[in-house]
This record gives sequence, C-alpha cells and structure tokens, in this order.
Amino acid sequence: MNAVPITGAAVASPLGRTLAELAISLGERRLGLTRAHRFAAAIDAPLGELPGAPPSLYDLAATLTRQLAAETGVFERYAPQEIGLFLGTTTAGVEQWFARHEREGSRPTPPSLLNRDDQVGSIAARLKAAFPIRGLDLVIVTACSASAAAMARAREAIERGLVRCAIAGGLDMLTPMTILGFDCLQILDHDLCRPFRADRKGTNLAEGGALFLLEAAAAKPLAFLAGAGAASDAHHMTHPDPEARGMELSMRRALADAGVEPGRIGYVNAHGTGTIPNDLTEALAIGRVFGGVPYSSTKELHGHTLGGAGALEAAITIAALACDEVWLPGQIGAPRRPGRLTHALSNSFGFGGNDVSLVFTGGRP
Amino acid sequence: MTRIFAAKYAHATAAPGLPARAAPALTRRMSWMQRAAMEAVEALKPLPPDLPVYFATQFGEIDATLAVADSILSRQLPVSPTAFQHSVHNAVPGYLMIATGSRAPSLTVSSGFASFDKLLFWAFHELRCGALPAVLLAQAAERVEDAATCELLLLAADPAHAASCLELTSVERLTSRQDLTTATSRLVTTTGQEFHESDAAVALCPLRLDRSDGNFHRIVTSFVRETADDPPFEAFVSTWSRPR
Repeated sequence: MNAVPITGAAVASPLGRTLAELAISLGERRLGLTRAHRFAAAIDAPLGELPGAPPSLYDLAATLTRQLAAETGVFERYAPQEIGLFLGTTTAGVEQWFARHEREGSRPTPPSLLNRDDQVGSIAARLKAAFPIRGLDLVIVTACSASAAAMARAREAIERGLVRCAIAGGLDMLTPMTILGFDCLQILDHDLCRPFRADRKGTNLAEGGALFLLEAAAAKPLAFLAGAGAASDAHHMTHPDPEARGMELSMRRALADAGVEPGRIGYVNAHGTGTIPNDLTEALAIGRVFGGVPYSSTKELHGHTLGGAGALEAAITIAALACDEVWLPGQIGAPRRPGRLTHALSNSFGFGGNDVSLVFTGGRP
Repeated sequence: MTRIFAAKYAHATAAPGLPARAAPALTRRMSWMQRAAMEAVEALKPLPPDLPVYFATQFGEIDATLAVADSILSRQLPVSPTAFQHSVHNAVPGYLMIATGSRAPSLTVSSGFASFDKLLFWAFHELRCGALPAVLLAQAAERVEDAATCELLLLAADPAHAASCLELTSVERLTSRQDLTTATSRLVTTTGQEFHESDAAVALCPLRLDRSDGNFHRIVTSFVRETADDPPFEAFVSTWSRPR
C-alpha cells in the first residue's frame, strides 16, 4: 500500500498543542506528570493532566478538530462527503455516563440505548453533527492501540478510495474508572514511571491524544504514514505473550506494508508503558526485528494516554522526523547530531493482546 | 472483483443451566457474553487458521462496566480486576483470538445501532480488494441477568464455502434520505418466509426480499444526531444472494 501524506496535526498534551511545542518540551525533558491533579483525593500517584479546566472528551475532540481545520483548511478544500473520520478512544461516552452518576450521587444504571451520548461511538456522531464531515467514520475501541489502529484504517480508506481525506487519531480523558481500574491491576507506578529501566514498577496514566489530517496527495506534508501492521497476542487479556510473537509480527507487518527494510528505521517510539512484562517483551520483540535500533518510551514524560497513546506518540515520532537534526525523543543523554531521521516506527499495544505498529517517513525530500 | 460468501454462521446463548461446549477451564473467569462467544466459536470449528476477528459493540459489556462504576461510586475499593478487564470494549474479540489461536489483526468498532453494518461495510471492502481472504465478524449482547448471546459470521472469498450459504454482493453506504428512498423503492418487504434459519446471516437482522431478483437485503439506518437545519444521516444496505 502507498504512503499517505499527513498534512496537519493538532495535539492535546501537557507537553504542547503542536508538533513544535512537543519537540521543545521533549527536547528539554519537561515533565507533564504531576501529583497535584484533580484526582488527588482518589489516588496518590502522578498523572498527566491537561492544563486548564478539564473539558469533556467531546469538547476536547471538537477543539482539536477546529485547530486542525484552521491549520489545514480541510473544510474549505473538501466536500463533506469526501472527509472521513477515524477515531480511537476507550472512554468516550463512558466518561460522561460515569460523571453524571457521580454528580447525582446515584447508583449506576445501564446506559440508555437511545442516549447516544452514553455510547463510545457518540464521539464520531457528535463531531459529524458539529462539523461538515459526512464521509465514512469508524470509532475503534481496541484499548491502548485504538488511535494507532484508527490512523491505519484511515490510510486504508484513502487508499481504497472510500474517502479523499480523513481526520484520524484519538484521545482519552482521565476518569476514576480507568485510574482505579489500572490501580486494581497493580500496574500503576505511584512514583514517576521508568519505562525500560531495571527498577520500573508500572505506568503513569494521562489524558490527551492527537488528531491528524491524512490526504490522498499533498505538496508539503509533515510526514507520511508509510505502513501499518497489526497482530494479536492470542495469549491473555492483560498480559503480553512472554515470547512477544504478536508484537514482533505487528512490527514486521508494518515494515512489509511500508516496503521498508528494518535497517532503514532510525528510531522506534516504543509503547513502553513501564510495566515489567510490557517492557520486557517489547524489548525482546524490538531486538528480534531490528537488532540495535535506538528506541525509547516517551511515556515517562507525558504518561500513558490509553486510547490516545498511539496518536500522541505518532505526533512525537513525526516531530522527530521533522527535526533538522537527528533527535531521538525521550533518549536520556543522547545528543542531537547532524543529519536527519528519515524512517521511524511507533508501537501501540492494548489489552486483549491487540498490537499495532505504524511506520512513518519524513515529509521533506 | 473477489466474490464474498457468508461461509459459516453460528449464534449461541450462555446462561446458568445451559449446556456448554467450551472447556470450563477456559471459561471459568469469563463473563456471560464472553462465554456466549466461546460457545459460538466452538460451534463454528473448524475454522481457517490465523483468522482476523472483527467485533461490533454498542456499549461493550454493560454488567462489567456497571460493576466497576458501582465499586467506585459506593467506595467499595479496590475495583474487581476481573470486572475491569471485562469492561474493556474489545474483551470478546480478545478471548476469540485466544480461543482460535489466531495472531491475525483484530478490530473492534462501536457506532450505535449501525455498529455491525458499518463493520460489514468495512469488511466487505477489505475482502473485495483481496486484503483479506476471510474474516470472522462478531456481535454480542447481554440479555437479562446472567445471560448473553453472541453471533458469529464467517465471511470468506473462497468459493468452496459457497454451498448452501449466501453471497454478499454489495454493501452500500447512503448519506441522504433521498438515497434511502431510492434504494428501498427497489425492495419489497416481506416477513421472511422465503429464507430459512439455516441461511447464514439471517439471524443477524431481519432481511428483506426483493421479489424481482431473489436477493436478500438488509437495511440499517443510523441517524447521527438530528438538528433542525442539518440532520446528518447514514444508512447501510447490504445485498445477499444465493450463490449461482
């Protein structure tokens, strides 16, 4: 399948709202995680909270869509039927439903069949009602790989002629359900997380994500989504396959789809949650596929944005490709050096053994 | 263009007291929805190796989501790890991949009433262009307490599967009521006397029979959100025929 140009990006992260802001924050190793968050009464652990008053997930998605439209002029350049929408999330709808019960102090009741705001798919419905988007939409709910999967499907839809362009990516908001759910699995680090380090204890959760505009053709893209691969662990709901076969397959399929040899990848943005089993198996898989490629997890600076992780880390990977020097995000003590990163891969792995890898190439000749 | 066949179909209900095919060791910690999925996949075996599983769900597992929310709102912590795992929307396909031993990609989508048909539209285009040789489509629902059902439909491009099944000849996505009016004017609604329980896909949703050409049609409309001045509209019309 062909590489599809990425022509715009809107980011929601404590580390910045644009690719340039992300690059500066990550370059200076600013920390987007804090203990002084709105859930401090419920959990004593660092979280990556978005600055300002917490919007609803829909409000945040609408803000990103407006930002993307202002940057790209997508709604002026395409008819509504030509614009697709491919989103990955885990908390859309659920977040509103839980917040309502929390406000009312009531026991939770099943979400309404007819109240679409209670449903995870409502995020696309509401955006389509608010913006001139009438092309195919998919809301993908494959846990922490969701927004990477959404970007992969957007590329396929453009390549198959189902849409001419697509707003794609994803995001999640912090909610007590995910925070206390992850805590019950004993995979939260109550201190700052330390992905791939020997003393790692778990992950830090966060909110945010990113939306991108993908188009069939573009003169000056930010980067290209060159390949996508997906695989299943077929092992356990929450534990990765210790032999890392699904992770390895996902990366190999993405490379094959992009037509890129492993040796051409200059940087891997790892899923790197900071949990003992994820990082162990991911390092094993990366070693088998690439040998000695540089890799890092930027989650130690911005936290794990769950369904938004694939999109946020795609933005970070694209920022690295856009840099005038070779810069590897999140690498401690790795100096920038002359040259340019041309090919990079980003991993996203989710509950259910759902593995997605994306290959990006630089947008400049 | 690749022809696409509804190769195998199974639906199963899991509830206390009902006989089970799946091994108890596999299903011991599973929700009723997951057990229904295990029953349905047992009924479909043997299946092609490394089969992708695509799952459509409107809410995920409501019982598990309620259990997690209730635990937090009533301060009965910690949350049950099992309930939290089951509240993830892609829990059912996760277990289906384990049960089939498949390392193929798995996709879970949610889109209200149109969840399954949007997935069908997507799968149709993937199969039609040869990106996949076969895919297992799934949808599941919780019923009253302690009971759930799951439906599985194997779509395959292999003509060997065509015998006694249906061919999926088109899936149209309509974006205006005018389009739907035009499409439905071709159809004559029946109550289903001319197809049988053994027909794949029939139980997924009532089909309509076009008396003029003998095709079956399934129509699902998805009103995105009604507003006075600009009502987004979406409908899917799939057409099924007996293989010739």
